[in-house]
Amino acid sequence: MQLSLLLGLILGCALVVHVARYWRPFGFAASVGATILLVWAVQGATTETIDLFGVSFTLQPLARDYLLIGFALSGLLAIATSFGETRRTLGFLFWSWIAWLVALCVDGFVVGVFAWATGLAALVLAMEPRRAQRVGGAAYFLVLIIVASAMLLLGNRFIQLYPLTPDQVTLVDSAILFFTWGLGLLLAIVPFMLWLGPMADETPLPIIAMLLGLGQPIGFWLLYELIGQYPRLLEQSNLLTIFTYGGIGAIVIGGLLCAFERRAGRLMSFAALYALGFVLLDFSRGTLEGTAYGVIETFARALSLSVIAASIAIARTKSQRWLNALAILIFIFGALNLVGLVPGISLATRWNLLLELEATDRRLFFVVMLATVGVLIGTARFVMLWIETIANPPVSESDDSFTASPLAPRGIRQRLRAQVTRIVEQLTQRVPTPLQRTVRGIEQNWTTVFATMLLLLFGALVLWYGNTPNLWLQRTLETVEQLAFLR
Amino acid sequence: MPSLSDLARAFAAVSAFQQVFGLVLVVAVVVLVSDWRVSLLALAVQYVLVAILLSTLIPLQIATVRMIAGGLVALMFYITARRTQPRRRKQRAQGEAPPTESVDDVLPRGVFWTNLPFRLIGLALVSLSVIVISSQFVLLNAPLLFWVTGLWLAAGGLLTVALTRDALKLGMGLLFFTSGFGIIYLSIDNSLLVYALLVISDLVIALAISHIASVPSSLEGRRHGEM
Repeated sequence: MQLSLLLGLILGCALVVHVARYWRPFGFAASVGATILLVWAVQGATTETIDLFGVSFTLQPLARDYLLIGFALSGLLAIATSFGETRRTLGFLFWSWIAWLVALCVDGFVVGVFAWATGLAALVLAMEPRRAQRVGGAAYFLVLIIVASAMLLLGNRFIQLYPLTPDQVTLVDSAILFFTWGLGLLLAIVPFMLWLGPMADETPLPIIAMLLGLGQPIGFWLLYELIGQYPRLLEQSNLLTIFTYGGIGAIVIGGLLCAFERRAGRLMSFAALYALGFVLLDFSRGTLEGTAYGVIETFARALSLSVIAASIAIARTKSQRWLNALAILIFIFGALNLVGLVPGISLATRWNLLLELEATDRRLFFVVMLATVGVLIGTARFVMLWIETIANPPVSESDDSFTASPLAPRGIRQRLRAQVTRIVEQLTQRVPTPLQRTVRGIEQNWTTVFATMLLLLFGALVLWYGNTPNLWLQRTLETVEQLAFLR
Repeated sequence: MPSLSDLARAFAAVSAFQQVFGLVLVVAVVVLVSDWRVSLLALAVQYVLVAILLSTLIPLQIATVRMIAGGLVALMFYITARRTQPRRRKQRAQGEAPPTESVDDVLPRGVFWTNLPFRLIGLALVSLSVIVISSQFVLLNAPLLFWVTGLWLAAGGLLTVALTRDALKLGMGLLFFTSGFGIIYLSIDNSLLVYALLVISDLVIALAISHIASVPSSLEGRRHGEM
């Protein structure tokens, strides 16, 4: 499938899901359909180069794998969101991919940065400010996107001019300064992570998973594409050292913040920061294996965040105790995968890094282990709180009391619902009673059945991902090998 | 109807000093004045002045695109402000509490975190910083006029972002920042692609800010110790 067709397909899917969100069955069906369609389309996407307005677009194998995982996880998050009463964010799980596809395929840093920033800005529309007309996490995140993009563009200009004066290393140093500033802000690398908390307060959990798990790593892709064009950016600078310090800082601060956090959104964000630290440490090796491990960690991080977000989102929608217990189990799976404790590939990559740390700097090794304990403490406290909520369910938390989003057009939805109910009533009068009973049962419990299936699917996905290390490592090594900067 | 040559003549009539003075004035207005109408007017004037400035770097037809985009942005902000601000004023006049759950929204609060003297001092400090930086450093041999005006707009925009607690005002600050950045970037890289992307990004920013400013509060009570 050609890239332009794929772009059109994403646009169509996003539009359909966005419109279908008004009625739950439609929203669910559209989410399932869009997920299957997009995953199928990416599998068949062509790697040929196309030119548009003098800019060339190519879908590299690693980018295709990333899109595959991205669409699958976004789709699963959309399905989890479709069970809830508040489905305003459903379409936004797909809209950003239009811009991000451009960022992943374009052969130009400037357009890539603009596309990446546009995708992130689209997610701002899915955020819900805590106070009407007041600035908060969402508004500050928007400011951050703009400022960081400006820094990245300035850095790019410096590195573009460098080959004209190869003896002037100052230009490379300035470029690195701006890149660190820009990427540090958007990736929330220590000390630029101050926006994470306020942003998490105003963002629905599936959107946090998408932003941090799938949106942030595109920055790495853009940087490595640029390094492919200007290899001296890596050779004549201390970029890898910056990655090392940034990674250690992210692990320590992320773990520390997790230990004291009880809010779901913030806990997810800080745990994501902790996992980002390992990605940075992997990339800081500057070797093929290091980069491949970094890519695997990135995928594991996205998967874990999606599992965590989906399990909490389903638990908030459904009041059945057994379903909540299952959601807790899947949540723990996701959290352990994020920490790197699920046996399999996550543990293998993490363990590799920890062994290296233990051999080079034992104090650092213990600090990293302490940070890991911090994330585990935060997760355990959250699970305890969750179990407490199941044991003593608050009245307002029940299914019926869930208020619809103020933005949802209640008029259209209620009118549609009334029409459908009237038609169904007319039809059911002609149907035999046992069949009527079965239909009523399905009508009342279909979301529970599908939510259970989704949770089990997530659990199976984590297990499969963790226990097929050879498959993933081989695939990642093959695709990473083709990156320009490694060639 | 005025033609493009009329516009060129009008642009040529504005001297460099007048442009700089105008940009200093509009930034000062946005930082110091709370009223959204006056700020919106300053934003619109800023777009015109920046278009005049950029017309010396890029063709006039292309420079006017930014002016048109600025008009659209101002229109978006105007509609948003009309939707949100009068409602609050009307409610306050009738002595009714707004239909929000948050106590913070019931109590009327200012547009800025700080009072006028503090903002005045802040603006003075930023002006001083811009003068010092532009006299000490030059970014990649950017012409002085573009370097100074770009730096001033970007710094003024960031100051507005830092001082305000009103979403619409923050959007104005952000647009001032992008204008400043656009001037600086175009003076060191005369790329039409970047210019076009900056114009598009202004519209995206305006859209996002309009959304943030108009969406109702959604406190669901799940903040401290939430499940």
